[in-house]
Amino acid sequence: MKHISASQLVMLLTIYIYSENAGFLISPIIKTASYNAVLAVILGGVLGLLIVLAGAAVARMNEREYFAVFGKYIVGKWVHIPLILLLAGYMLHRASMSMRNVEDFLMVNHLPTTPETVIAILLGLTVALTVRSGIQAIARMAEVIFFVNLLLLIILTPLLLGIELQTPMLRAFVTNFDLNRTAAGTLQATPWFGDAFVVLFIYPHLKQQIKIRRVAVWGAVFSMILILSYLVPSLLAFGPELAGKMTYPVMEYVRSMRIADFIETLDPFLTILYIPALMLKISLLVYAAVISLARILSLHDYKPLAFSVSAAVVGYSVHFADNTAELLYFMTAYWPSYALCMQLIPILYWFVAKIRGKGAAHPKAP
Amino acid sequence: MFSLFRKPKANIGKAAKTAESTVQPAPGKELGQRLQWFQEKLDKCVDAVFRTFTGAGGRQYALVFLGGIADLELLQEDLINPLTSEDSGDKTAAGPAADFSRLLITSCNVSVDYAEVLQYVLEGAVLLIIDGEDRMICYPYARFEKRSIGEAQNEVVIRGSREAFVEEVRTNVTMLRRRIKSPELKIQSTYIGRHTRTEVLVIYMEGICRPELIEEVHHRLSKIEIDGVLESSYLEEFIEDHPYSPFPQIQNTERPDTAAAALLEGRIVIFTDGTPIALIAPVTFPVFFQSPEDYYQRSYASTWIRWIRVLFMFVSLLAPSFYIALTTYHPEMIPASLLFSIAAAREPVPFPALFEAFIMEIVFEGLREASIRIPSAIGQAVSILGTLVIGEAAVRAGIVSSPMVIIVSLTGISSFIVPSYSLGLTLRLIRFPIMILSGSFGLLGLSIGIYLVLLHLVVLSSFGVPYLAPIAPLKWKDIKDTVIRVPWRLMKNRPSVYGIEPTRRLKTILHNDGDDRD
Repeated sequence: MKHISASQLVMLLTIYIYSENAGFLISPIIKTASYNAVLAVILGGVLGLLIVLAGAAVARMNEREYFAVFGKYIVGKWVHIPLILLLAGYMLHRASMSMRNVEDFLMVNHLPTTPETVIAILLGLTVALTVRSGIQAIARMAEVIFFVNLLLLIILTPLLLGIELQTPMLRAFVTNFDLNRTAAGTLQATPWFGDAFVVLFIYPHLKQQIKIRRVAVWGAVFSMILILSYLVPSLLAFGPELAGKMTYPVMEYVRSMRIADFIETLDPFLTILYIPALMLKISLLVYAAVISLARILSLHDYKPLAFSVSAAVVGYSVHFADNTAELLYFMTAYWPSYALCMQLIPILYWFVAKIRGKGAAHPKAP
Repeated sequence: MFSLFRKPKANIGKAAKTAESTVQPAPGKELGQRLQWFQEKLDKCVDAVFRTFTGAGGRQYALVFLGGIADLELLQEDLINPLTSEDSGDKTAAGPAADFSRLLITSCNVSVDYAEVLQYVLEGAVLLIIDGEDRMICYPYARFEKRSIGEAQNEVVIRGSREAFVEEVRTNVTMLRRRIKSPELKIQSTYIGRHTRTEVLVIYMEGICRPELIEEVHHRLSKIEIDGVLESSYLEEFIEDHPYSPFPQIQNTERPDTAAAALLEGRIVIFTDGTPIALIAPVTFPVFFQSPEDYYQRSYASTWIRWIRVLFMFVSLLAPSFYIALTTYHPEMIPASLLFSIAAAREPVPFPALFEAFIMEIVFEGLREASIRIPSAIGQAVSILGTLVIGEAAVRAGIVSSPMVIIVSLTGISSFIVPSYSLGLTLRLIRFPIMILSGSFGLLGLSIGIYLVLLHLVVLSSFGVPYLAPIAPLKWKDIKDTVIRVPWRLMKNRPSVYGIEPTRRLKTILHNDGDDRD
């Protein structure tokens, strides 16, 4: 059961946090925080990390058991079950939101005539197969994808530098400080990183000697670097107004790249490398939800739920919003507060466990 | 998780001849009755020979053997002559044959079990039955016609040994012994196949190979209950971890140096009688991109060649899919001038790119398969006719476009760059579903295709060793012989995924100063 090593978890968390955020959440945060986006991401990263560490602290109370199981010893069965259902619901909702983002991205940019449902089914099938393959497979996939993305970043950096960036704008990162905008941006960025609280649900799969705090910090730092490596150039290339109005500023930025007139545009190529990272993120969310549901339902094997739950995610993603604008509005206006409420639930367990004292996370001896 | 820790069956390691045989009831004390038992068992076997003769002391003997296999000269000189000669000293009641300390050959088998003795006879031994003596003696006088050691046909190297294994396992063992002169080289025998009774040898280095791995190999072999084993692939399919996967999970080789290198890494080599192909387990995916020559040439060159192999593995797997995706869904990626020429070439072709690629790929697969069977005298002519003439004519007739011919030819050649033929076959096969995905969803389909293949690879294991190791899970120490091939003086340790600790390979590291000697 103890499959995931520290390095695997760092890579998994990095891919998990950075993948969607770098692609789809750049525009909302630039719109909200303008020049303060960089600061907002860093502050959001720190706050999100605190949420993750709180979740990890709860998980460490009973390292051998899933949170879905031992949670009831802390707060009681009738409080725990609704909370776990809420959390599983949140993770599936989050997975649907991510999937919808991918669907819209693909439909707008690459497959305009393909029905959305067909794309959703293909993605859902991929997610279901990944979830069925188990957490070990997810962790190993993260390793491969991490290195591919790292390689990509190394290769792309010189090409990105070839694009004309408005470097004097860098000054504005410091001079245009606005507390309100920074706070709003931080509120937006915190749940991106806080989403990594999913580690609470897979904790029994981690190798015992893992120093979870160190791992979480490295995961947050790596993902922050990756997100900023996309955010800052996009901001410098388009400025906060234009970038905030674009749906996919990173893609627009990459689109303007040229490789010695050999390839006209790189964005479809980047899509190939980017989609697997997103699939992995969605799979981890679905896996965490499925494993919790399986434990709540006292199922020995979670695998029978993989396809049905993935199908629900597919259905939900298709009906998530009427259009991309509505989705973007939801992600900017409502989602951060909703996500934060959900991500802070483990802290409730932590408080109760602290009040109840040692052994609160274990069954009472008969 | 892994099934490495199961206990093996107790009978493994012993001569498996006793595994199925139960002691048969004695047909009678008399020589005639005993001989008749064998005659009944070998009834309608035209090659079976039964002879009785009287020895020097007047004692009756019977011989049972298979004509054509038994070495008659040896039989006459080493057995019949001493028994019938007046000088043999057979003056006592017991006689020389009954005096087992005077048996002429050390590897004789003595048994009272009729079924066991019959099995020896079927394997080519000469059976001697002595009147009034319960014990029967089997002399290993078998002389099979066998192929001499030849040059490796499928794993050719420029620098390195030319030898290849042959069909006879014992000869193969000598080739390994010649390379590894260590008492730690252990060889265990077992017999598989109800009718074929094929000898299977499990070979490993004690102290390097994991004991659980040895037990697991024996355990899996012992579970095989089949009527016959005619090639090592039979065993391969029975003992691999994921039998329904298209990817090979056990390496095979015809080269003794490859097998010896595998043994020194802590892996197990399995020989099957009747085939020159040895199995090596466990194996990881990167091993399929390694050629024996990588270790014989300079490390820079070997590293470079490895990268080329990986690059062309991707070309072999993805080139048609990439072409289909680009021309069908993402023409904006192609530079305008190139796009115009592709469009011009595709203009007369009535089929979509996916269909066109399918036609060409399947025709190419057909030509390749045919080229193996076409007699060599006309092979070249037919190949030229098939590839050049048909290809040219197809383009002129507007059935396929010339860029597609280039893509398919490149793909076809690329699939042979991977040193492992089994993996090459797999890549050829899984190319088609990825083509369908690309034809349906463009680069998204391609991406999903790669993702699913990767997902399958991370799930696979070979005898408990992760298939994608040392990449996923990452083992930094083992990268030195995966993505790159470091010089031998830096190859301090064996790959950590196979053997047991300590994995030290180099005892000390030489530091040649490289100064000129004036």
